[in-house]
Amino acid sequence: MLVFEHVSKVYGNGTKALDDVSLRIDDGEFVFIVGPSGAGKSTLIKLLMKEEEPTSGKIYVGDQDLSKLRHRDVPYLRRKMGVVFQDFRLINELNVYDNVAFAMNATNCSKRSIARRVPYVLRLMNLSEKAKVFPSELSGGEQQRVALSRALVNNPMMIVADEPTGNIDPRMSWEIMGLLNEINKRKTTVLVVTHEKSLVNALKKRVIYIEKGRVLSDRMEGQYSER
Amino acid sequence: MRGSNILYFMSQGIKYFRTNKYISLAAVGVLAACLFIVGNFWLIYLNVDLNLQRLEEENQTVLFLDDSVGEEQFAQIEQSILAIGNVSACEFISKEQAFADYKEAYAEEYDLYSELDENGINPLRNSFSVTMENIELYEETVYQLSQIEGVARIRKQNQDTLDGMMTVAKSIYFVCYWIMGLLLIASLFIIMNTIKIARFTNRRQISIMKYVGATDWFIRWPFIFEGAIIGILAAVISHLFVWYTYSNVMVKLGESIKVLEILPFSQVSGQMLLVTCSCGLLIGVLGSAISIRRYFDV
Repeated sequence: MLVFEHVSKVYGNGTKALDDVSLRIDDGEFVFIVGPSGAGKSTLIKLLMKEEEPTSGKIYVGDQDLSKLRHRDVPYLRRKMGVVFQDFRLINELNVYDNVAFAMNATNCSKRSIARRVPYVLRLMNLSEKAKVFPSELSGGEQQRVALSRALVNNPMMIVADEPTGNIDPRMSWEIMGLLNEINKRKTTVLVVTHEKSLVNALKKRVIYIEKGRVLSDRMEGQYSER
Repeated sequence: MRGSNILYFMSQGIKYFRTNKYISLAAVGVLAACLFIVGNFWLIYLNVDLNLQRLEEENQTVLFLDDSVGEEQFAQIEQSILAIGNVSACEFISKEQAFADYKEAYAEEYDLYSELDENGINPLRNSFSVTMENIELYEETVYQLSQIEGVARIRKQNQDTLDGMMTVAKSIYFVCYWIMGLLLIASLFIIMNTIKIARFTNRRQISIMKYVGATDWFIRWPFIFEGAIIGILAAVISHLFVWYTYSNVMVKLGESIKVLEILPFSQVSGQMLLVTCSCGLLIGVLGSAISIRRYFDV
């Protein structure tokens, strides 16, 4: 469960990114967060990852009040979430397998569990054949599937995807959304920040519309343009 | 830290070193140059210290006993000397021992004493070499020593020479400390900035590690190992250069200026390696650990 309680965020330069945002996302939900550029969607994710602190209000991930979370415990919060970015953020010097294994290495997993888990996730994402290939040799869609594998490999309770289809062609976008939907069916909460109207409208999931830092609408089986 | 983690961190450290090999080698070069200069100043310090100690030893206060003093009185005189508050130690030197030392020291000038030696004549006196605790009470103590029965003459320290040498030595120590300190601080900053350039290429990897939930220490350890590799390599290289220059310049200088005693490198190499390795390790590790800090703000 994820709860935002009257959360506001004002940056040092005076920019008000979020203004009294309150929302609740239950375990296993699939939620789109939509809105124009500069609406505060990315700030929402940064607050969730505890990359930024809210100016006021409270954020809870499960029972954990993030304002009370010590700096040294932030990595353990992040292990509960798998993050996918628009620009994939893969390490070009590592092949597909090592990029995915990297996330497990970074969280101190044993070699045995890495050897068991990584091929399994690559198989789920239909990337087994590409295990030894480097990111520069992959299409945008394939790179995003690698990023999704990396997000999934530590078995997070939530996948947070920031514009996951922003850098890939429409056909691949559908594939990525399909995979996110599959992941959600396995009871993992999925939070997707996107601009893709057609995808949002087609999937009929919960849509939270943000503009100028405020939640303007929050509807189940919503449409992108609802306000 | 688990054993397998140490191996992982070490292998990652070597990997980072190799990935940024030109920058890493530049860091090794800069640090080796700094440690080379620091090492030479350290050796200057040790040699000045050695010569000062030698001068002090040669310049001890010596009580020469009257020829009429018999062996049975030596112990009593020794007790009288030690009874003086400012005397910390005294050593009896028999006239036979003194003559043997003299002959050993001037073996090449046998002509000077050949006649005495051949006729079994020993012109020297029994004596006590005295060490004092507080040099400021020197004159007062010498007066008390002169009052002991059986003391014929006292050879005093050449206080002016010692004071002069002490002043010169203190100046040299001062310069050595400052140059070594400043150079070590400067090398830390240079290393920090050099490694910072290498870190720039790793920033993406660091930010990804942060996002996937790696702890700060998990990210930091490989870079610390990389810094340690830089530090140790620099220390070993600088040690070899110090060895070469010391053997070819300082030792030869000591041979030509006979007044100076120069430590053989073999006598200081262990201590020297320990000092340069410790400094190299400290600077490498600190430089690496500090330069990575800014990339943790994710």
